[in-house]
Amino acid sequence: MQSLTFKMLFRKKGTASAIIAIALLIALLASINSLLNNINAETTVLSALSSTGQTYIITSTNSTSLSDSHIDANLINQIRNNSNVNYATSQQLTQATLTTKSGNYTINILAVDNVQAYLNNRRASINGSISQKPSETDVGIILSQLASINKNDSVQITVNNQRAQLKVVGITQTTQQSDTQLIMPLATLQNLTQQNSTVSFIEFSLKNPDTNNKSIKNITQILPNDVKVTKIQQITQFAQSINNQTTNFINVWSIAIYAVVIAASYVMATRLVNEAKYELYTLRTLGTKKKATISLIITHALIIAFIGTIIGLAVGIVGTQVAATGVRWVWGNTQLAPFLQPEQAMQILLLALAASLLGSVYPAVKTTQIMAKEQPA
Amino acid sequence: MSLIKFKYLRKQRIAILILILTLTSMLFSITAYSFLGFYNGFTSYVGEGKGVIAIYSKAGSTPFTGIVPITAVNKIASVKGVIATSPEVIAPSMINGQSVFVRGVLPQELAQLNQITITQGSSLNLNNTDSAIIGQGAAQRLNLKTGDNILVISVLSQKYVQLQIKGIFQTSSSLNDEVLVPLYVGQWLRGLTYNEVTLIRVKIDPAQTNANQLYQVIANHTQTAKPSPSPTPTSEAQKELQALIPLTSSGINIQNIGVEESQQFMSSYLDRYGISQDTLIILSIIVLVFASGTATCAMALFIRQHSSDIDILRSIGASTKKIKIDLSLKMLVWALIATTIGTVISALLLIIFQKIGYLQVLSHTITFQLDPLIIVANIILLSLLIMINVARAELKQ
Repeated sequence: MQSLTFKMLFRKKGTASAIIAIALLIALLASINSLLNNINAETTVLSALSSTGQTYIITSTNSTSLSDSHIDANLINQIRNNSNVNYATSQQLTQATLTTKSGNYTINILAVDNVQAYLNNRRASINGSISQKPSETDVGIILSQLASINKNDSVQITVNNQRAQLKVVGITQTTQQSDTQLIMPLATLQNLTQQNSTVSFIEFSLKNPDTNNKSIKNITQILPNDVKVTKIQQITQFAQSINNQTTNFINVWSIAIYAVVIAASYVMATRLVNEAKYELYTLRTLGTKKKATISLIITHALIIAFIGTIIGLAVGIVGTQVAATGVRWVWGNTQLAPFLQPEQAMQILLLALAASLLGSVYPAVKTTQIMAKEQPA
Repeated sequence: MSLIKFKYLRKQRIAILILILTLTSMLFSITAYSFLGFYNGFTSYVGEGKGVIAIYSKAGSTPFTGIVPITAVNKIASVKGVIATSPEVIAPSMINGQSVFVRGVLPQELAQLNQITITQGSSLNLNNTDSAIIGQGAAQRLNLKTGDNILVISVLSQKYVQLQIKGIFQTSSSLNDEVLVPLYVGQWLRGLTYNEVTLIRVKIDPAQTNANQLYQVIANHTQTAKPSPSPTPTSEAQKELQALIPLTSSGINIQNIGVEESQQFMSSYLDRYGISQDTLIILSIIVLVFASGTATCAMALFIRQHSSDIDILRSIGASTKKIKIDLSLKMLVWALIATTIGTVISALLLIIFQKIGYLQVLSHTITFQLDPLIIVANIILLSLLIMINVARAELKQ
């Protein structure tokens, strides 16, 4: 009896328009998500194609900057012994007071275990020589201008109340942060601070860019748990972050669509009850229980939502792809190829069904309550 | 017999219809305001109004990737009507695993183009070699405060810098979502030499000069200028820069240089992808058309629910035309109410999602601004929908 009523409910006039209403809303979601997928995929492909270099730094896991990182100074030997590593230097970044003839300055000292390798790696231009002795230092070009330091000047540095007099042997330009720093051998700073067990970080680069991922995996395996490896030049991560922002934006927008789906289901269920009063009363008279009537109305709404969503997904994807083909023909933009992931389609389907359930519960329950009151006991 | 004052429609059903019209209106408003917010934010990225000119590289595929010789600054700085010249380097970067745009600037020059209010800490000077100031939006998103040390990792070059947050600022422009650093720090992160910048923003007095004139000045200098060891700085900030970094005079390929009003410059990038204000409004209207199915069903249901009341009216002599006119007029008032409520709800939702950081595109917050055009479009579209549906309605038994 119920299945017969069910068939009759689907023959009601409003069924087609209800399916179309939901299908149009879902088509919107499907098309926007398809376009977004295309844009995100293109961004990811383009970022992967860019040359991203093969320089990495090792810092302590809990650090958010270089100066608050402390890692085992002996770790550099493990890195240098790795056959995949092309260049590696351990570096200590420390804040200090610089005293020159023009005044006192708060600066950052970059102490490197191999200043020559460090400057060569950065293709530095040097006016003078590379500091090698404990009494020597190089000065970055911006710092030299700021503090009026010239080659062969004598400067004083103060770190943790410990002072050292150093001779400036070269002015360096790397077009990097070392242009604003004092660059000196690591041993010089370690002598001053009497601390040589840890360094701030290790910078290294790999020999073969083609095997980057494999090499980094090997290196990470030999490292202790309290350090992390960070890639320099994060194109892929940047693209992912931007993609996530766009996805979040579309998700927020989708909330409005699902709100309308809830409204559509409410209208659909109310209309059904309105149009099928006779059938529903007949069922009640024949002994159908209240719960069964509620589930009949809700199931009807869910089936309509299911059909509407399937049609909407198909229309959305096909429509966007047809439009994309048109755009390709007209403008020759071959990169426009919208697509929807199966898991996204499933997500849309489930959310649409949930929205439909939410929208149809109230009219279903209310109708059966009214019917129960009107029905003689 | 006028039906206007005749209350034959049930209040609860009216409320439900208004609710559904409100949801339809809300969907349109959210779509239109967020899309236009993105468009307006993007086009005003380098400045709003006719007073700000952008000197940029035509070769750059995005506004962030062009390269312009810094020497162009000195060529136009002395032109009558030029109030300030701000060479800037925009460097897409990563901080704490999140994308952010770092902008290298001459702080003094920038202050003449954008009003920046320091809310915490202190302002930035060109001499603050290891410091940055951060916009409130970016500080909130990246969970940073004054005094924090940050590791900034470049996206377009193999470089990284450690900086200390010197201050947090507030501005009404898109800079609110960015990190400001001295020009040379931006150049490191972008992988440029000290002679190159991403773009030069120029504040002008539109009564005295314009983009074409500035272009001509640069073109003339390109033809006549003889190579010199370094350009002659004109402003105090540029003199300060010259004192810090080794600038050399470099040639300008005038064919690669574009000089346009800032908003025109940014909208030209979006135009390449077919995105304009008009296309976004059309897209929003399409969204409303797609959502109109629900409103149509709701109106049909509403009329059907009142069929017995309508039949009574007809039986006492009210014509179909009269009833339809009455329904249309009443529904138009409800459409007005729905548009108002829909606009308010969508504004609240957008502001809430903006505050919790969900409305970000290209690491910049989508700005929300009420637009009378959208409100009018919303009312007109809903009214059209109502009139079509009432006209199509079958009121006969």
